[in-house]
Amino acid sequence: MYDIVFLSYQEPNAESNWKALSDRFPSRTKRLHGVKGIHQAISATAHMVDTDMYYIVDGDAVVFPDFHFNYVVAEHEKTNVHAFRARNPVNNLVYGYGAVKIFPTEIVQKVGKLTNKTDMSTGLTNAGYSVVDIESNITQFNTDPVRTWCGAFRECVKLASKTIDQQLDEMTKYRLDVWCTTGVDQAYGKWCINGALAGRAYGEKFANDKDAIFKINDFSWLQQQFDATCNLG
Amino acid sequence: MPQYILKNCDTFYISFDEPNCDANWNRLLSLQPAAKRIHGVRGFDRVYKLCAMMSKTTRLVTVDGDNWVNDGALDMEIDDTGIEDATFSFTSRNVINNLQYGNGGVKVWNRETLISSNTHENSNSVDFHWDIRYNQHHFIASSTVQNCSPLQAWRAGYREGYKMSLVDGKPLNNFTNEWQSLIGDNISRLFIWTTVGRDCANGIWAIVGARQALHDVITKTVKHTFINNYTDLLQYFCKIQRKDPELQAQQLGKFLNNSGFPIYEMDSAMSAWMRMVYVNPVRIELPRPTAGNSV
Repeated sequence: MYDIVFLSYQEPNAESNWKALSDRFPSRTKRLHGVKGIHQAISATAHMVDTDMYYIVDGDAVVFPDFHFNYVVAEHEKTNVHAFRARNPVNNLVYGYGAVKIFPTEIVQKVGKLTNKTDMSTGLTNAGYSVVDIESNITQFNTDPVRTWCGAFRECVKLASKTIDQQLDEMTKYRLDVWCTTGVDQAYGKWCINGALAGRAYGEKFANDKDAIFKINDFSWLQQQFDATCNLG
Repeated sequence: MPQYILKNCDTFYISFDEPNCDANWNRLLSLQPAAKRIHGVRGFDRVYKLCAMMSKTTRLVTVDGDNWVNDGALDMEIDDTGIEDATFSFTSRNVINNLQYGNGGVKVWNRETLISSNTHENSNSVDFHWDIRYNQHHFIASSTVQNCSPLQAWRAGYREGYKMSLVDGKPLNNFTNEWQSLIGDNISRLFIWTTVGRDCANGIWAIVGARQALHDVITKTVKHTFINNYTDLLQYFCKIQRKDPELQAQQLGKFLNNSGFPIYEMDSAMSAWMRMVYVNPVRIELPRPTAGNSV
């Protein structure tokens, strides 16, 4: 059984999600909270675990009760990141966004903060990427206007800039279209669609500018974009 | 002049399996919303170094998972002039026995010192202060609440009982004949750990733990580094948890008395009285260099 790391930053629902997870798996659940910078946080998690592979669960993930964290990675796939499926509560898309993932410990340790890939799950040097067709959780990112907008913006920058390794163009376009059009009647759905549209525009504009795209991993910068776009800052 | 206000330093909350860790975490967040948390990591050297690696500030604050941080603690200011490498160790009040010293207390580390240290699982030792200088601070920054379960109380007593029996981090050759050579403050604290606490929840388990530790020191049952490993301690506790703690305490007390280490059985009322009358030893600050005098 692999260790589980719960990774949270400022998600309003982090404490309740943490409690649900740690109550189910008290002896193998670890937590890292409050570390700024997604890459630095993920790098640190690899130094917290005692198993050769480990799960990362995001702070806004509401894990399904029938997801048991008992997946066994085949030996020949132990250099891959394994992504389960998460359900988006706004637009009902089901794919790797916000899903539980399994990371190879040693590879993440070696990468450290040095990677310049926008998405660490798909862009780990020396690591492949495998999709596991099992739904692990709801990614409950729509908890307030800022977080909803920023979550949608960040994901749609990735999709529109096509910076995620191994993306299929047709699927990417479909997901982007759904993000930008669906869910206005859901909680903070309007903020989600606004963030998606802004993210698509930014991603298309800076598709060839790695530095500009990399900024989406900085929460403070995302907040600034929200303030500027929504005239609240 | 290098001065630091604690709330301006990166603050790390380190928890493992403490039953009260989430309550203490929420308390810390109310005082320091930017606090970071690391939970469930095995290895003391490993987890503290991880904190240091993640710290963006020269000095970092650590708070243990069993600590309830007091009002005003993070408003404290330290001045490390001349002792820049030292760790500032604030006093903590133990709710089981009212001991007030550094055990489990808030600490302020120099980032580089912590990164370059080698302790616990990496050095055959059981604490930081044999590798890193501590500047002891009198301010009571927190309460150490270690009595939320029998395991938590027993483990606290066992670990601290064992530590108090060491000299320079090493076991005495013959504890029975040499225990009086321990540092005076530590002897005093050892007496308290092994006798006071029947008046509070699970306090008897802390007493059993401290006495069991001394028993194991005398009989050389386990190595001192045994106390670093929470899995081993849990397995140990599983063997004894079904036995009546009062009976165990009395049997261990008789053993220690027969071994020359005096144990007085204090009932609940006596424990409460002892908390009132016991005066905690004064904690000693490091000397500071003055003109023409280097430390």
